[in-house]
Amino acid sequence: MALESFATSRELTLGIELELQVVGTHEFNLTPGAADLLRVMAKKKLPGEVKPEIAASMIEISTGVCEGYADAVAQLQETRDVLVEAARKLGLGLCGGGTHPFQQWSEQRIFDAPRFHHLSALYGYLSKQFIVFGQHVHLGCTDADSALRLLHTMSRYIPHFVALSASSPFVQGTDTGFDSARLNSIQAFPFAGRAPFVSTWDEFLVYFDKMTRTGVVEDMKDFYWDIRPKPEFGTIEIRVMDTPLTIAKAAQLAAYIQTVARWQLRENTFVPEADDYLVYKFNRFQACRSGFNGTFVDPKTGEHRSVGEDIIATLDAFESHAIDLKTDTACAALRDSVTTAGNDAAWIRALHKEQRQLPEVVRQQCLRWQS
Amino acid sequence: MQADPIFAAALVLIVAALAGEGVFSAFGWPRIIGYSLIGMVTGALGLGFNTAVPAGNSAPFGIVFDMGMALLLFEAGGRVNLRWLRANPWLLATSVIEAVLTFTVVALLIVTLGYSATLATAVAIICVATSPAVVMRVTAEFKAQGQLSERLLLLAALNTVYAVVAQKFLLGWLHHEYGNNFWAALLHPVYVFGGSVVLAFFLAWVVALCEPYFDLRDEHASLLVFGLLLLMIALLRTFELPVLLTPLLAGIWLRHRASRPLVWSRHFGSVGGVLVLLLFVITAMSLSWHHVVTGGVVALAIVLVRSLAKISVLAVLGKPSGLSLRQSVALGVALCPMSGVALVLTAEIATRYPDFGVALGAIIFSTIAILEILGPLAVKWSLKRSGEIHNGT
Repeated sequence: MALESFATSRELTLGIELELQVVGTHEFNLTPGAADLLRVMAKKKLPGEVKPEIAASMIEISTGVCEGYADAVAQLQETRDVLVEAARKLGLGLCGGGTHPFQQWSEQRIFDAPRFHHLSALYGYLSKQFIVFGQHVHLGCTDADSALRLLHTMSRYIPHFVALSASSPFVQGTDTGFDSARLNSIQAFPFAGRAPFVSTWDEFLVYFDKMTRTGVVEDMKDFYWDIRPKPEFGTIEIRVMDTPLTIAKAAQLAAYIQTVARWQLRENTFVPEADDYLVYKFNRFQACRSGFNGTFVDPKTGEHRSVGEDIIATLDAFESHAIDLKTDTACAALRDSVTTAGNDAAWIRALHKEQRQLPEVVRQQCLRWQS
Repeated sequence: MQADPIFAAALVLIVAALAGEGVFSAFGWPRIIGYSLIGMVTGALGLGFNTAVPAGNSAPFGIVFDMGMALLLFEAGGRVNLRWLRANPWLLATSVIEAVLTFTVVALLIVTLGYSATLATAVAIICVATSPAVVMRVTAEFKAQGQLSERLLLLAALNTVYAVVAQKFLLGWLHHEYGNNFWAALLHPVYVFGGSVVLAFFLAWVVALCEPYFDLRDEHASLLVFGLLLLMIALLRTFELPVLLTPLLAGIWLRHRASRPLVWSRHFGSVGGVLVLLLFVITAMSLSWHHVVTGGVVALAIVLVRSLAKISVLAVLGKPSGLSLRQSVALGVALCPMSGVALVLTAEIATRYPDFGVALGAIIFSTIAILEILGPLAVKWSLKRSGEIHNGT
C-alpha cells in the first residue's frame, strides 16, 4: 500500500492525544469500563474526540487542532470535565500515569473491536503487556520535507520529553527504579524505536515502499516510533511521553514541544545529522531510568550533563520564543518541576512512601486528574 | 441416623467439594450449586445437622455459619459506595424502587393465595434481599469485572440492609400481635437497632484504628479481622442481638468514613473463603424438607413475580442510571438469588414464633431451595451476557 501524500497544515499548530486509565473506585484497579463511558457520553458535544483503545480499561481523549497553549488547556478541560462526569455516574475513576501501578497484565481484557482482536492475536501477551498510557503530541508542518527535518531535530529533545512527562515508576505492584517504565514495554515491539535518518520525503517514500514490499508493515500505524510522520494530518507525532497526572502538565508538555520546534525552525541552532543518533538510545534510556538526573550526552559535542541541566539550558535559550508563543507560563511551570517540584514519577514515589498503599496512590492520581 | 459429627462433617465437605468441581467441569456452573445440592441431600437424609440454623449456640455448625456470614456481610458492606449513590441518584432510585416493588408484588401474591397479611408481609420482606453471598461468590469465581458486577454487589448489599431492617420492625409488630405487649413491640426494634449500630461503630472504629499498621492483603490483617468479628459475634450473642446487621453496617461505615481505599484479600484470605463456601452447604442443609415440599408451588410463583418485579424496575431505570438495556435486564435477572440471609431472617422469626414460623418456613425454605440452584445460574448468565466474564472461564 502506497503512503498517502502529506497534507499541509499550519506550522506549529498542536494536537494532543491522551490515553487514560479507567479504574474502579473500590480497589482502584484497572477495570473494563471504556465501553460504558463511551455509551454514557455518546451524545455529548466535545472539542475533540473520545475513543476506545486496545484495552477495555483504557480510553483515549484527543483535542482538535489547537493554536497554542491556552487553546489546548481549554479543549482538554472541556473534554476532561465531560468524561469525569460520565465516570462519576458509573462509579469509575479516571487518571493519568504511564502505567497502572499494580494491575496484573494477565487480568486485562482487550476492547471488543476487530482491529484490537487482530492486534491481540498478532502480538499475543505483548498486547496485554502493552497496556500502558501515553501522551502523543502532533505538531503541524507546512510540507513533508520540513516535517522530516523537524522530526530529526526533535529527536535530540526526546530525553527532555521523557523526563518531564515520566509518571510510570511502578509496574505490576513493584517500583521499577525507572521514572518511565512505560517505554520499556514499547521497546519489545518489532518496529519500536526511531524513524530512519532520511531528510527528504522522497527518500522516506522509498524506505516505506521497501518495507511494505517485504510485507511486514502495511501502513504508518505499524511503526511504533518515538516520533513518526502522520501524512494525513500533515503533522509529526511525538509519542514518547507518559500520560501526565494532570491536564495542566499535558498542555505544558505540548507547549514545550511547540516552543522547541519554533525556536529550531527559526534559529536552526541544531542541525540534525545521522551521527546524532549514536547517543540516541543511551540518552533515552537515561531519561527513562533517572528522569532529570539521567545523563544527557550532547550529540554534537559529546559533552555529558544531566537531562535536567539540558532542559534548563533549553528553556533559557528559547525564552523569547516562549514569550511570542505565550507558552512562557507553561515553561515556567516545567522549569519549576526540574528545579524543585520533580516530575510526576517523583510525586507518585513520594506519595507511596507516605501512604504505603498503591490503591491510595491511584485514588489520589484520580483526584489530581479531576482538578 | 446419628452419625459421628466429625466423620459426617468430613464426608459432607469432601462430597460437596467434589460435587462443586463436578458441576463446574461438566456444565460450567458455579461451584456453589454443587455445594448447595450436597447440602440439600444431606439435610434431606437427616444426617443430624439440621439444627445448625437457627443458629443456636450449641448447634454444631452454628459458629461456623455465623462467622462465615459475618465475614461475608462485612465484606459486602465494604462494597457499598455511598458516594456513588450520591453521584448517580438514579442508582439509589433503582435500589429503593426495586425493593419496594419486590415487596409489594410478593405481598400481594401471598395475600391473593389466601394467606394472612402478616405472613404476606414477612415473606415479602425476606424476598426483598438478594443474596450477597451468591453474588459475591459467582462474580469472584468467574473473575467478573465491570458495571454489572459492581452494581450487582451494591444493589444486593443495599436490599439486604432494607430487608434486615424491615424484619426488625416486623418482629416488633409480631410482638404486638402475638404477645399483645405494646412496650416490647416498641422497644425491641429500638434495642436491636441501637445495639447493632453501636457495635457496628465499635467494630469499624477498631478496624480503622488498626488498619494503617497492616498490609490488608496479607494473612496478618485477616487474623485481626477474624478476631474482631469473632468478638463481635460473642458480644452479639451476649446481648441477644441479630448477627446480620452489625457486620453489614460496620462494612458500610468503614467504607464511608474515609475515602482511603481498604482493599482486603477476598473473604479475608483462604480460611475466610472456606467459611463462605461452607455457608452454602450449611444453608442448604438447614432447609427443612418437610417445609420445602409443602411450599413448592407458592415458592415457584414467588420466584417468578419477584424476578419480574426486579427485572421490570431495572428495565425502566437502568438506562437513566447509565446502563444499556441489555445490561439493565441482565442486572434485573442477576438480582434473583436468595440464600443464607433469607434463611437467617426466617429462622429468627421462627424461633420466637414457632407457629407462625412453620407457615413462613414452608414458603421461604422452598423459595431458597429453588433459588440456591437457579440463582447462581442466573448471575452467571447475566455476567456472561454482559461480557463481564472472561472467555477463558
